[in-house]
Amino acid sequence: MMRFLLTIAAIACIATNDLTANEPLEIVVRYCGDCHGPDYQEAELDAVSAVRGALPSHVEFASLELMKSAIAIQRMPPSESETLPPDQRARLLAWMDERMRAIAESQADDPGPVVIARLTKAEYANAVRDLTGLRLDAGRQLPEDGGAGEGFANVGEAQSLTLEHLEKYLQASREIQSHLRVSPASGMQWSSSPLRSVAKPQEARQEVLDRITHWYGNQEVHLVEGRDRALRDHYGLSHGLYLEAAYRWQKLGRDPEALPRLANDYAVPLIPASIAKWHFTFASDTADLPEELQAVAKEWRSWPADLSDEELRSRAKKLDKSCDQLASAKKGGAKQFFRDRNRRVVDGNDLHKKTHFNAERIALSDFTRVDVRYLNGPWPDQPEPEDKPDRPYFLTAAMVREAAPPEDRAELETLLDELVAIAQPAAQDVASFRRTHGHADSVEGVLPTSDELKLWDEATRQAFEPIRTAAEAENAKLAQIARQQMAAFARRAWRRPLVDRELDRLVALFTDARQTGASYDAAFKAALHAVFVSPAFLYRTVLMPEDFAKQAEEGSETRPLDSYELASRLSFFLWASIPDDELLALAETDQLRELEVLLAQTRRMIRDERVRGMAREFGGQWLGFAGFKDFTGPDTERFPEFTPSLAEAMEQEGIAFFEDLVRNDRPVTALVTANWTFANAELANHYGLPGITGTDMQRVMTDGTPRGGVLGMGAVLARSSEPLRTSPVHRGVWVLEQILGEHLPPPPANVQPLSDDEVNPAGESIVEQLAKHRAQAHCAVCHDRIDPLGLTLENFDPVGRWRESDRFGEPIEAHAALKSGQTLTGTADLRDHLAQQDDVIVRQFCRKMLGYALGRGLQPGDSLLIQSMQKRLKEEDQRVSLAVEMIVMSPQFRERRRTHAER
Amino acid sequence: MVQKPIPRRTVLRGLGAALGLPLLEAMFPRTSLGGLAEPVVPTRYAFVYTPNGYWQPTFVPQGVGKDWELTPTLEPLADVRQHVSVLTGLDRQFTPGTGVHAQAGACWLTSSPPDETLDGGFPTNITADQILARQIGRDTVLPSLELSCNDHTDQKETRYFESVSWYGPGYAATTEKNPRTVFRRLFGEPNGDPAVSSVLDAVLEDASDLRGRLGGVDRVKLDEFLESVRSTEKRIQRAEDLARRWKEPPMAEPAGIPRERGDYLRVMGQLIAMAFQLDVTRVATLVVDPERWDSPRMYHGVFDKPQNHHVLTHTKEEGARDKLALIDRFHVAQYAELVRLLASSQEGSQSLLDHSAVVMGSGMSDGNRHNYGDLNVLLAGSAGGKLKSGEHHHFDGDVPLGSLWLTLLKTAGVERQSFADSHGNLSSLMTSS
Repeated sequence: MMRFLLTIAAIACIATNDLTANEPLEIVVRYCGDCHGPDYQEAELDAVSAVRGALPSHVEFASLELMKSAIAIQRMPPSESETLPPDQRARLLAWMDERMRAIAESQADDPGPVVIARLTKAEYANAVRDLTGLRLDAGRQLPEDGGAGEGFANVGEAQSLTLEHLEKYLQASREIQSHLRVSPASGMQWSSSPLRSVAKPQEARQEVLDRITHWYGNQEVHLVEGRDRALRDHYGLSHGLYLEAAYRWQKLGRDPEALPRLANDYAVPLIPASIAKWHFTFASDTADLPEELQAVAKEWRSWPADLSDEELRSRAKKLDKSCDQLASAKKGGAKQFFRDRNRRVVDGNDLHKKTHFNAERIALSDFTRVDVRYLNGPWPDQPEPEDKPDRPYFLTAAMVREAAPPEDRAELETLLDELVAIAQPAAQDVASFRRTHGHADSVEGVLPTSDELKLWDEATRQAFEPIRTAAEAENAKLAQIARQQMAAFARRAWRRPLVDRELDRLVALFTDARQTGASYDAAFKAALHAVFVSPAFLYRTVLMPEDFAKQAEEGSETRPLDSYELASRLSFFLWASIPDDELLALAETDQLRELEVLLAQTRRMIRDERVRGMAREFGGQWLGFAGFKDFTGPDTERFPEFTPSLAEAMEQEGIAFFEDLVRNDRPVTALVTANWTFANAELANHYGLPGITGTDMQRVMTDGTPRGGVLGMGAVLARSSEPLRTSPVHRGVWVLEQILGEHLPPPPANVQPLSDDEVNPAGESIVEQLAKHRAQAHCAVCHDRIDPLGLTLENFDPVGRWRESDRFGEPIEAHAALKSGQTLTGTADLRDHLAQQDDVIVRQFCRKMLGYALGRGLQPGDSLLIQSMQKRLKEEDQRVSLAVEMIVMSPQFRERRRTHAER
Repeated sequence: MVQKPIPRRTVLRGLGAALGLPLLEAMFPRTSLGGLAEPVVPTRYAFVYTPNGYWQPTFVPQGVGKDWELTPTLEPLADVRQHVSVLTGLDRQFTPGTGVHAQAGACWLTSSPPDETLDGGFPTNITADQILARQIGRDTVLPSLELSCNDHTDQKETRYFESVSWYGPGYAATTEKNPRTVFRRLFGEPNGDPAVSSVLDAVLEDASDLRGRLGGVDRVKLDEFLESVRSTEKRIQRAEDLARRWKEPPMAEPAGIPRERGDYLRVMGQLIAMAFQLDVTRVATLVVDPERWDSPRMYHGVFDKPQNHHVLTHTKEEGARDKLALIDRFHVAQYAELVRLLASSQEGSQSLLDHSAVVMGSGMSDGNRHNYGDLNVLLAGSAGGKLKSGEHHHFDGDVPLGSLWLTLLKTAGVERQSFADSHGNLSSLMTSS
């Protein structure tokens, strides 16, 4: 920063060498020094040191600005003090102007001290929304952010990141991931409801198998529509093993939790729900059953309670056969088909005869089990026998698939691909090899240790070698897929590409988890946890690894932002969220730094609905409607109509209004002059605006009503009220500070507070109490300016409703006399009064927006940018978009100071 | 051979019972000869901050030493007065340049001398509680606990109002406001997932990597992050150790922020007491309310309407002073309850209070004049026999508040020559031992 500092020092030098330059100091010491000197800083202002040049330049600048505003309108020195002669005042003001311009020019275009900032709570939630496509309100457990700089939460300098933040980042990350399923085939898929965890490979496969089974189940419903439903329902379950399992379940007391275990007791696991259904079908009153099944049910119920396993099996088989016969005799039977690795459909009965039969493998990966219900149709391998039209037909899995609509088929194909992708047959081979060689509890995915290998003889080791090679290749392939998926996601989350070193770290977390037997999904999430808790995600400022650093230009103190840094700065400014793919693509090709491209992107982005993020964060934090849904100020007994849903609608009103202002490029002054607002039925009813229905916010024209713009907004009016009464003071301060950008000193000690309710014990109304208050000279200094503005809003009650009279029936007098002698009556006059100061409003808007965009307090050098923004906006209808564009194009926005490390 | 102590959890049932329970001998390791090993009981420190000073005429007692009379404000201390010392006449200095209220709270415990304006004009170097946490909090699940009973979520004041606890210049601790969240931090599941440690390792490497291009303040900011990651790693480890000792949490989980003010402050006190007793943390701060918080607040059972504490301090009419005195008294009563809770909780042959120092105070004496001099402090417990109890100490002349903090640090074994603008202990508070 040497350039800036040197210039300042030079100015100070010139000033002290010039004899006449002592005059300003003499004036200030004499007329201001008693209250605003180094020893006693009334209103936290040390005017003497400021004029002496003894303060840091930004403090000096701010002090001069404050002094100038007070001296110019002769608010200072106060009337009870010695009067400052007009000629001296003029010379002092001119000197201050010049001095401020000199400071500003010496620092023009300085990007300023922008400290790296973490995501605010809102930005965190928005970023997760854009990454997942889900509205999870992620990070709602994070601590609230404070405000700083120009009053915004996004100022890095003032943010803390504590142990508690980190705990909550970890919680939030876990919560986000509970909505995710990752597979090597379909990548990351987000679900609005939380998903079961699938920690082990078997669990992951079972989930896919369940979905496949479900798919077939759904298909069947379509196919049998209008057929013999009763028979399908019952015969569909017909299977000897189910008869047996239902019996055993009865013995277990029909405990629903026992079902899964029971179902898995069989070489080919049964469907738990079907066991239950079978049981209830047969255990219930036989009269409801189709005639031909009644006998079977009766037989089943007659079995004694203490059958041995063998006896049970043999009885079940026998009964099953009679079922089949019955079914065949009537219309058909049920069969199971399996789909093998080569996607052949195999008859379940054949399968049992195969020599390589391995129950677990069939259940888990080699085969997708499909319960195929019989229907009228031909056998798969036999053409429909024309001569025997009554013959029962079977429908194979293949036939169901063929018959399914194309979109359904695509879904099934995806599921099958997913199953194949996570089948990891080689890992299963390793597990089963270890199981047959002394490791009964071997875990899929875990390779034998060297100690274990030593226990094997040479032949076994040799037999194992190809299996191990296959497993390692399989693992490497999956890790490679994970790496690609991770790189793509982390690039979006971190808003920049990852360097190999970073990606290696993430993949190492994946492979470590895999080696302990984690499913692909679980291992991927271990790495994803690090993506979400990394500073690269949590800091809004893009943190670039050194690898990206460009060669520094000799001696320059600032540097342009990298394209990625710029993309993020832009998206957080306009959307309070991460860049989208289009922005990232332009960053990748470095085109974003071309001014035309940057401008085109800015224009695209402010028309995007994500601009709502800016409306809530910038507009809402500035004007006070952000978070209003949780506002609990009004006394609940006095104002029962102030419900949470009303408060929510008031916040939405502010957001919708501001969003519309930006997206539809309205003039800045519409903030106060708009003849429209946004409301839903509840809010419109509260405001007395007719004809609005429904819960959605709608644009409402407000001609002829006191609404329109921020001055009529419930959130603003209620937040600036006391629980039981309005506060013309708070409202006036709000208008002065937020809309007109004035800086008011804190109230002095020894102020007489106003009554809590509308009148004090002496029966004086707030308006009367305020008038008394202003009669005291030291109060009047500020309150002559504050109170009139607030008093014009008196027709709005503490919850923002319109009122003609107070609680005691006294008519509301919303009159106020300005110091200029002008009288304002009611909100309409206030609007006109403010509209006349459009330059001031535009200036305040620009200042606030620049502070928000940069995430810092304004610096002296920024005043030149603000001036040129004011000028252009005045020429071009005060369009909001112009302010946005000028900020984006400014050096302050596109550059940053270089750090020592970068020089 | 040292026998395995009984997990304390097995004897705890609910808060009321738990705090009445004596510390069983079996909780101390036994030596092989059957004698009890000398238990090393840690000392705990709690700092309760109330805003906007105290109404002096009803607060400051007559008489010093043991013979001080309970004033209307201090009356709720009647049954614990033998444990509580009243300190009056301690002083701090205001540093011009920042708000007088903000500085009162933010710099109450600061180790910065008044002219050390490190943080945008604020002397907010590391605070006494955090120095204590570094000294005695290293082995507990949470090095320190920072609580606040300000449930307003408005952004109207900066963190200088919200926190009395600072890790360093510009680096405020986050205060936790919801008793339920506090409970979960103290007694809930540790971060569970064993993979978290390796995740954090990876994240630490990321962060160290990214420091390269940063300089100055940016680097300091990122170091806050690094520090949080390291503490979290430790915390997970300790919480896992601790969780092995409990089968269930030691008290019922609070439902959220209680509606009534007294209940809110009480449950926060209970959480502190429980955390102390189970040695989950040894240092706690509680911000009863932020300075100059102009949202009126209900003091249930004291007034039937919400009151604005700050505005009352600047109100001249007689009724306002009575109200201030009642608010002060309300806060003293809440403090007395915490003292009582700790005093009734046995720890070895003594009480938990005997092994604690529990402070309540404000950064101003007279809130109307924003007077940083003549501060009032209540100090309960003997910090393991090192502090005298039950006396009124009045300090004439310029005696820095920092001397009190230096004295407390000494009782915890922190050797410092100076603290803020103090260069000596308050030896009159200390027992001769």
